[in-house]
Amino acid sequence: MDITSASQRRELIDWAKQVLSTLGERRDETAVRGVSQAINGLLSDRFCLAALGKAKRGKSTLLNAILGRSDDMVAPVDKLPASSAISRFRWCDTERATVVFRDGRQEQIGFDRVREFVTEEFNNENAKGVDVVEIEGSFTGLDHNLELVDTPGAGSIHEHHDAILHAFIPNADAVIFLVTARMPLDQDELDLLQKVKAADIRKVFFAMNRVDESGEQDIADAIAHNMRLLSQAGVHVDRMHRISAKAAFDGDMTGSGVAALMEEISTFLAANKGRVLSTRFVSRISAAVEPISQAIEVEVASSRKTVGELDAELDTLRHEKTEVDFERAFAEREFSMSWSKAIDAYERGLKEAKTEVTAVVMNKVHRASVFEVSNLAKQLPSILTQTIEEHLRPIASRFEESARESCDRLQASYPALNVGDAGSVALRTRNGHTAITGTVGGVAVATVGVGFAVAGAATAASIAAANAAAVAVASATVAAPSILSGLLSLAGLEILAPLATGTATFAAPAALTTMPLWVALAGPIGWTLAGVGVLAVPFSWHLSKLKMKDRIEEACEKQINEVFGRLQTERLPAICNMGKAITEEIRLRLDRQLAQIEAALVAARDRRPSESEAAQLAELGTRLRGLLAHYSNTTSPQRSIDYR
Amino acid sequence: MNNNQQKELAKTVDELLMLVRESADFQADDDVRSVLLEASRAIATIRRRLAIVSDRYIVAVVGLTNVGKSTLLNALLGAELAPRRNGPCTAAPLEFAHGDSLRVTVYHQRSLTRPTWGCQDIEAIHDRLAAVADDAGDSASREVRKVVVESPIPLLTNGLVIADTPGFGAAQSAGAAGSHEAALKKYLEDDVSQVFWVVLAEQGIGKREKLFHDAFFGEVCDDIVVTGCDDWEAYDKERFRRRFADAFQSRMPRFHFVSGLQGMRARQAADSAGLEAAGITLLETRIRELIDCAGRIAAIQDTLLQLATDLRCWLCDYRDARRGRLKSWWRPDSWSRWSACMPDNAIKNRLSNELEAPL
Repeated sequence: MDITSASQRRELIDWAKQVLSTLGERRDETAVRGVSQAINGLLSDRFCLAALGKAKRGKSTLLNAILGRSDDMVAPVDKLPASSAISRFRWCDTERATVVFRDGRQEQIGFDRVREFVTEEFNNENAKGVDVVEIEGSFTGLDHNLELVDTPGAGSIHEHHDAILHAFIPNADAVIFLVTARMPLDQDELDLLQKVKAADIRKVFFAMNRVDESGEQDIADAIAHNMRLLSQAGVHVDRMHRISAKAAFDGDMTGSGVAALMEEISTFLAANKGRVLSTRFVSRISAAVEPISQAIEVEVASSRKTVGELDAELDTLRHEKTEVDFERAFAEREFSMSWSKAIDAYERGLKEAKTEVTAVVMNKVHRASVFEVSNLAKQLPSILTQTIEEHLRPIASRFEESARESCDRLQASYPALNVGDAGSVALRTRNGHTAITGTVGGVAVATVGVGFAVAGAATAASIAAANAAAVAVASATVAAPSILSGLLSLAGLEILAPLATGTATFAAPAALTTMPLWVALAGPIGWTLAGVGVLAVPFSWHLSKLKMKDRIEEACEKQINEVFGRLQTERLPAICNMGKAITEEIRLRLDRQLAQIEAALVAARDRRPSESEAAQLAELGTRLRGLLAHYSNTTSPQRSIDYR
Repeated sequence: MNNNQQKELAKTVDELLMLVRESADFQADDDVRSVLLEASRAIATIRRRLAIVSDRYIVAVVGLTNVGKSTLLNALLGAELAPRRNGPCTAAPLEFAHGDSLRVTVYHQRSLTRPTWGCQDIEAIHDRLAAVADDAGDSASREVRKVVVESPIPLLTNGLVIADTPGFGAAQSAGAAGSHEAALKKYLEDDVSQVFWVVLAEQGIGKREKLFHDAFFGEVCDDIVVTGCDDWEAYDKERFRRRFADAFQSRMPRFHFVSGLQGMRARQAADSAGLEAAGITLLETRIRELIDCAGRIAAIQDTLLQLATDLRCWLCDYRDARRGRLKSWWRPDSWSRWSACMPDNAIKNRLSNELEAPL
């Protein structure tokens, strides 16, 4: 049932062109490019099979074995993570390797130079700007209609590998997924499979590589463990091949299990190649025009509504707003209460600490003999800093802990906007979800995300992107530390003004200017105290010039007063303000979102498309939907092939 | 004594921090200024670390599941005490401490009972540990805080405790996600003085692992143990080091290349040359170095000196590149205070030698 016979193929391509022409002036560059790439792919009639997996799973070794190479010239192998670029292998009666660079340049190279472009060792951080290396040759083991792809391993320390890999995945028609017995399946691998699934790739050949390096029991355990995790993740696996790519490379195709893997691939291709290729083609075309068709749907949906319906929705929204106001006021009051309680405790702690620090330091000075005085003067700054730190640390960490708790609670109890699947918008409240604009659909969704204006703007924006943004905004949890860090500058905490005792002015403590707040939070000296140690710097200046004991005592007392005074008069009010700013921030966010939805509804009500425009639009939408549905329905009768 | 030493060092670090910060502010040259600020951040980190050096004596072996932690431990301990944990099991760390006889004790998170069992032989210990791991499923004993195995092993005689930690990173079955790693994090934060990070040579270091390192134990880890280097040439080891060193920037850990299996075999055959070839002897020396507080303080001193050397090299290069236009990089009076304070302190003098601006 090879439906990619010439006529079938022509039919598919005609269909794709028809889709494009139906879009008319609404098509954009991305859609056009996506469609033409898909057409080129289909014309070549090659099945693109990519080897995927984490770093060091033996992808390149396997490909060398399948290609029938006796060296690793075309797919270099190393003890360290090697592959850093995408290489595509095709059969051809002449040998040729072409490096395609990101800027579009191409360079023909010999096989002996492939290593210079596709390995981390020789092309560090992809400094050479390689996009893909296309390698053709009379590879004995390679089916003429198959294109094999070697990819960089996922989850290595080289971040750009993941970027390259993720960008490539949609180009594959099917995937060989390599794992090993030694390393249990991890989150990186599950994430990678999710990416494969998201690209609508429905066939994955699973292989457990390097079975010659583990015992039988370990392999069985590993397979059972992996299968369990995969099925939990919704990935169905028919068969987990046990292979040794190394042994296959050394010539033992059958014993290594690679022959059986290739057998399954061939069988699958013989039966399904045409179907998979056309399914992939349809899915690529749909993906290319999806944003545009969504935009049209939204416009149609809003134009269908009567003024009365939109008014009713507006009423619901306004009504819900008053309800929400009540609830949020409650949450805010709870928050400000717990915040000020925490501050009170902190303030009390400060006072006690001051008394204790003074006692400790004075005692030290007092007990010093005349001969020790000058030495003492030099050491005092660090003694003082340490003593203050020691006494303040527990108080500060207690406060920070309760501050964090308050933020968490506020966030949990605060109403929030959630964007649902069908484009509905719901307000999450303490009592559950209330759909406020269930019927207005994507209009509201789009507005929450990017302030998208409905009428006439659909061509300019991709609603799919807007949807994604909206979901991100609406479901983003307002993590307490991130709120706090945003407010640091707001609260004016950057610099503790230098003391008047010295002439030195000093830079703001690093913890406050360059590090994000949560880093400071993690340290033993928390952010409420950050910078206190630096206060000792000018103090040390002043002190080093003093020789007399009573003068030193006086200076110490002054310094202690200064430090605690500043904590009291600068830090405390700043922390107080921070609490207010947090409430304000969270309040503002919700208000802004609600206002955007309201504005979108008003706009939809007031700027109605004319009757003929609406009809045209609806007609276009229906035609496009019909076209897209045509193949999606006919080409995948067995939608859940092997891999869901 | 140790306590004094630690206080001395803390003071030195404080003084150094002041010197660097004051000078950074005094420095008109933007590049020098930013380097000095970077140095001051590094010093502040060292200062924080000093606070946790104190009285802890647990050295933890940490790594992904199945990288050979247990094999390494067995090679170190010279007995097959550490069970092979296949797949993630209990979330509790396993501590190996010195004792006159073989004994297993289980500590609970919130229970006074502390069941303890004497064991005849290593086999019995394994059975006991397996039983504890099985029990961990039911709610009553789920909160095992740690399991301590006592044995008369020479390496452990002077109070050293080596901990085997559950492997992190493997995908967890639904429901268990996260709990495992949170427990490990808490243990590393609260109990452990030094971490040996075990990575598998053929796997290299992955992104997720590195993130775990940064978040969980970066501050107490100076040593990366690369296992499975059975057939690695010196050249490969050097390339490994270079490839992954970039990720660590200023806090450059030491790499130890070992082969746990070879070490284990050499240990059984009492073959000291083999043990050395497997890298175990060097690692043992390093651990002994870190056993006592003085050793750990020495480790911190090394880090400080390394930082001072780096700083000096940078400053000298910078000055030479600009044909000597950068005469002084310290604020003069800050420098005189630094040199006047604690004149008899050895580490300070060494730092001064490194840091002094040459004419």
